[in-house]
Amino acid sequence: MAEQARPGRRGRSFAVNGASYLIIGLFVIIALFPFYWMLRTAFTPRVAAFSLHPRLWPDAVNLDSFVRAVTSPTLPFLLYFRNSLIVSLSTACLAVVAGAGGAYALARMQFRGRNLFGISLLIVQMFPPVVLVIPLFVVIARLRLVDTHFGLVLALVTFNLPFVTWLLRGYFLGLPREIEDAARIDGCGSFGVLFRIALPLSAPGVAAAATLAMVNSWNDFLFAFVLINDDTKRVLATGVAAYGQSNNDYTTLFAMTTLTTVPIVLLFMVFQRYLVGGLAAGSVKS
Amino acid sequence: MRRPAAGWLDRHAAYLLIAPAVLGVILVDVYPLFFNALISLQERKISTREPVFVGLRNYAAVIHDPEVLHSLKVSVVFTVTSVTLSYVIGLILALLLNRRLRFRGVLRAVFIVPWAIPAFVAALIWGWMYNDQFGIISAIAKDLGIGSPPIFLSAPYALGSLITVMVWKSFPFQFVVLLAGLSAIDDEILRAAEVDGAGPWQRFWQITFPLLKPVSMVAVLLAAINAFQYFPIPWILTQGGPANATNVVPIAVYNTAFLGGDFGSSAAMAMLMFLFILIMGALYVRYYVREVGRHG
Repeated sequence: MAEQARPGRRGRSFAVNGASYLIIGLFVIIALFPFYWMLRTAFTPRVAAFSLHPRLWPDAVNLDSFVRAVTSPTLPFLLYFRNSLIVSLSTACLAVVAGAGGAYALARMQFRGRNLFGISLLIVQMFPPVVLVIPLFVVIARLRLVDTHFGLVLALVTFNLPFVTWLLRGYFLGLPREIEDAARIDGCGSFGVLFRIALPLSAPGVAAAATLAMVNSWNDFLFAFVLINDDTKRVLATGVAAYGQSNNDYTTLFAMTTLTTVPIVLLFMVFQRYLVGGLAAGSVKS
Repeated sequence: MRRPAAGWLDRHAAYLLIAPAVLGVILVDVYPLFFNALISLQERKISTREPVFVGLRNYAAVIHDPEVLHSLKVSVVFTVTSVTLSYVIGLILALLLNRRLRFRGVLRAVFIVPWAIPAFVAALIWGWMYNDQFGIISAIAKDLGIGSPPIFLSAPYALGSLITVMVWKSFPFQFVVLLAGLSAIDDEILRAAEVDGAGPWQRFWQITFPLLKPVSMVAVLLAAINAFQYFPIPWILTQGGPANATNVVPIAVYNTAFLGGDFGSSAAMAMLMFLFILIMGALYVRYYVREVGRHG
């Protein structure tokens, strides 16, 4: 580095480095503290959590809250968990299948309306869910899909389609054309090329798109909030939030949010770099 | 190019491939939007059975309603403040981390955490930390010698408390996008400027910041669109209260429809909000398409 080449500057760069690390350290604490506080509350015995002088470090730790969250007969946490799994896995699969079709057409085919399709997806991504969700509720009600997971999945798939499509388009563009041409000469139709060649070759992209669609659905609050009222059909976001708003049982609440959050944070960390690629493809070099 | 034997299916492959996406977009995006536009022209209340066409009366009522103007003001403050702060924080962290390669991977993963946490969980945690009796923030404030720390979700502080949560939740996005943008800048240019005697401050304002502008525009516009329509955190933390102090537009839209039972006015508010977002969206698409065009 240039700084090291000039000894006269070393003192100053030392101070600059110190200040940099101080700022970074401060933001590490700010970024992680609420997450820590959730864990701290979840692992604390119920009585100790309601202290008028809470301490940063717990005096005692146990798993009671997690046991309560999972076994309590009045609290359908496992049911919410199952519902969230069903909704987010279905959304991920359908979004990838529908998105791959659109992405392949955008990347490799010439057809009328191609630019219109691509730009429409970008514009639709901008539609605010809160504007759509009330009329969508009416549409879903007419289709008799209120309180069904299918109705929710339908909404979530569409909201994930734009970024899944743009992310996969980037992947397909990066594939060597020769392989696809060879397959075509061997008698493969367009669908064959897509499903037998392009998709398997883009496995990392498909995995990233599916994971991110799944994370988005898992975290969605608004659609689940409006489209599902039946408590037995509720997902984690709405079920757990409702519990949090109507009870002061913070230790059980944060045991539930811990079980909700930890898997998704891990998945997110593994796949986050693709998210930026999908959002700002082209404007950022990876 | 294609053999005639390929058949109808293959000749129309492109349209068949985009069909599911097009159908989904029409059913879930386009139709509800037009339906919403129609409702906004009707007197449609939960109390009255048949909707009546009233032209632009809902719009006239909405833009003259002081409550709505208040919501708009709250939303603009919420959006502008949270986006500005998260952009500045994201930029500072990206600049600091761009130079330090040793911990970059780990720190990047750490700064992602607030983004990864589901919004409803973030709202619940912050609500608990803000708790006026058992909350950790009050406890820390007391330890630091602040005798009676404010009740964070009460009248004069509620909006600031909400913005704090939003900044915490959204700075990682700015950070990640800006870090990617910074790493795309050629070091040679900066080194050449340094040789020519430009100091760090000058290098940043004359070179780095202008080169980062397209990425910044995309990041800021996306964040602004997101913040302007953001529902879960305000809903779970304050539901618009106390006394409408945090009644952002999305919450007003929701409450007008589902609590007030006035779907016509709610739809008119939603359309106006959509107009705001459309303007930001048009700018975003312009930048996005230009950038995609430039880099392929």
